[in-house]
Amino acid sequence: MMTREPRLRVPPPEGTAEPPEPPDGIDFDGFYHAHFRSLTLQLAAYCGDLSQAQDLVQEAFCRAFARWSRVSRYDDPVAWVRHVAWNLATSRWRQLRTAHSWLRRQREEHVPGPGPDRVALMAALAQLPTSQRRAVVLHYLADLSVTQIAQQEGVPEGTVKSWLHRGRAALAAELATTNEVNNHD
Amino acid sequence: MTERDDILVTSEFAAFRAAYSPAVRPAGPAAVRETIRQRRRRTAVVTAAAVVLAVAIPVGANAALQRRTGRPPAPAQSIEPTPSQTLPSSTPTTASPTPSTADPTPATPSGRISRTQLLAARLDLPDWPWYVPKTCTTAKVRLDPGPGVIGDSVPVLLGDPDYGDLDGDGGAETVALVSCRNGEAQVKQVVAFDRDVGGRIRPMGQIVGTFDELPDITEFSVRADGRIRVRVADGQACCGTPGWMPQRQWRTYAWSGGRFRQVEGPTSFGPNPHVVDLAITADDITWGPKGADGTRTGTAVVIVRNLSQVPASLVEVHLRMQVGTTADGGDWAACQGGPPPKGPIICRFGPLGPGATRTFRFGLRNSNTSSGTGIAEVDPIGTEAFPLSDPSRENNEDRYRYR
Repeated sequence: MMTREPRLRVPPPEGTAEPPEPPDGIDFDGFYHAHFRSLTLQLAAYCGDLSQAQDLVQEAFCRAFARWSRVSRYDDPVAWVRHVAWNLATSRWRQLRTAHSWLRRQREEHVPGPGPDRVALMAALAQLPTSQRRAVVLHYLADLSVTQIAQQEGVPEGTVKSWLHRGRAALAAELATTNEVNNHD
Repeated sequence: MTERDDILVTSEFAAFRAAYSPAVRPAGPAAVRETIRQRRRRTAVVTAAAVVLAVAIPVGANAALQRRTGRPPAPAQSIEPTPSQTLPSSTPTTASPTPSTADPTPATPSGRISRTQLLAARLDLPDWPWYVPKTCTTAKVRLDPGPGVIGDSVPVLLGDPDYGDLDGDGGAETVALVSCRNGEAQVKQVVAFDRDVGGRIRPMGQIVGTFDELPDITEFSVRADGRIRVRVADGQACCGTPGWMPQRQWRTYAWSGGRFRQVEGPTSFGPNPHVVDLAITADDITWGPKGADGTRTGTAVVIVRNLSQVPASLVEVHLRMQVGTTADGGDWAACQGGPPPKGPIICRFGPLGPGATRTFRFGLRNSNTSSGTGIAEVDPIGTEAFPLSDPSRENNEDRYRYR
């Protein structure tokens, strides 16, 4: 459900990875550097592709910059960028870009990835249904509350709780298996 | 159990964050500025070209067209970064061989498409219903500007498009109402369009189209939140359907899960209070013996039924037969204004409630010795302020013999 305007007036809970910024005169560069990394990690966990996540977040920041005078005055501009980036991840824009990115990557070095042990989480996430994967990533990487996820996704809170519960259980089961296999080696 | 899962998952994500974070290579805010600067410049060029076209200087127009198509439309070609688009390495992270975001994101052309641009393009449309004429095409369609009389059944662009961010991606898309004539009526669909990276107009999807339970679409608008309000009707005011008959509703649609779905407003019309379904049967009439004045009498047994769920405030029964027959006795007293004088043999009565049946035994006097076949007709009248219609005509008349 990506049908709603981002809920821009909802302040993030205290102690989140994306602290609220002063509403007036936010400096775009500072805003970009403060949030690019965390947003990219969220999208990478969702898409399973770090390069693509960087593309998506960069495009979301472009769209924010194009209307920066408005977006910067929102109570929670990060919510706007996150919402746009997540929507881009499921949109036609991504599909249209995929072929392009693939072609381009043939000529480029791959982004140096972390060791194979960390790939296990990506692989386990990929097993989850999309809605559960979104909920889990938003909760554990974006540090969003159930209420905030419900608002971003446009679903009741009970639905989010159910997604989180099932997603977490499936993920834990998958990771436990992976760990066992690794231990036996 | 759940708590243990929570701890495990939390620690896995923490490790993920720590491991992947150094691998993120932001293209930098300078790349954002450059991308937006290029997109704005491109928009300005297109606008300038449009101005040249507007003053209709053929040579200038050609030049403008060439400039507009300066970006080759084929995606595989057009999105190759050209040297002029390559960014100066303005941020430290882009000094080394760069990840994919380092070159400026190719402009995603604006999805805001004017009526003129829609009419000028060859468009792909979502499917029409299966029963439309073959000339209602969907591939590479040049929309007709309408309105007026369109001889052939061809896709027509109705009115002006509207714009909004339908899929929440931060950019605008275009919504338009297109139609195609099918017999006397029109099939219509509300379609969302966007541009792909090559600048070509692509259908995003059908928001709603006319079908059996939804015969007409008359208006639409895109709300600030990207949802689309569409005014629908349960009948098309044309070809014998009066304008007062259709019920109208606003329904709201939204892009969700890769297609458009209805999210607000009623999902069905319910019975139309202007539409009834009346039925009539009439028995054969046998004239009695000739009286002293040379006339004969008989009785017409007429049964009128209201098969609909809608009350009929006033109903008219008309017995068509050869001249020389007049109303005389029986149930004529139940008619508005009593027995009809000389002329058409008509009885107006009401109300006739939903599902109600009314049996009349109309007395008739015949002054000649005619025999033949008559027709009993029933029509809903209603009132001037609230007229009624009965589109299902097949049960509104019955034939009877008289002799």
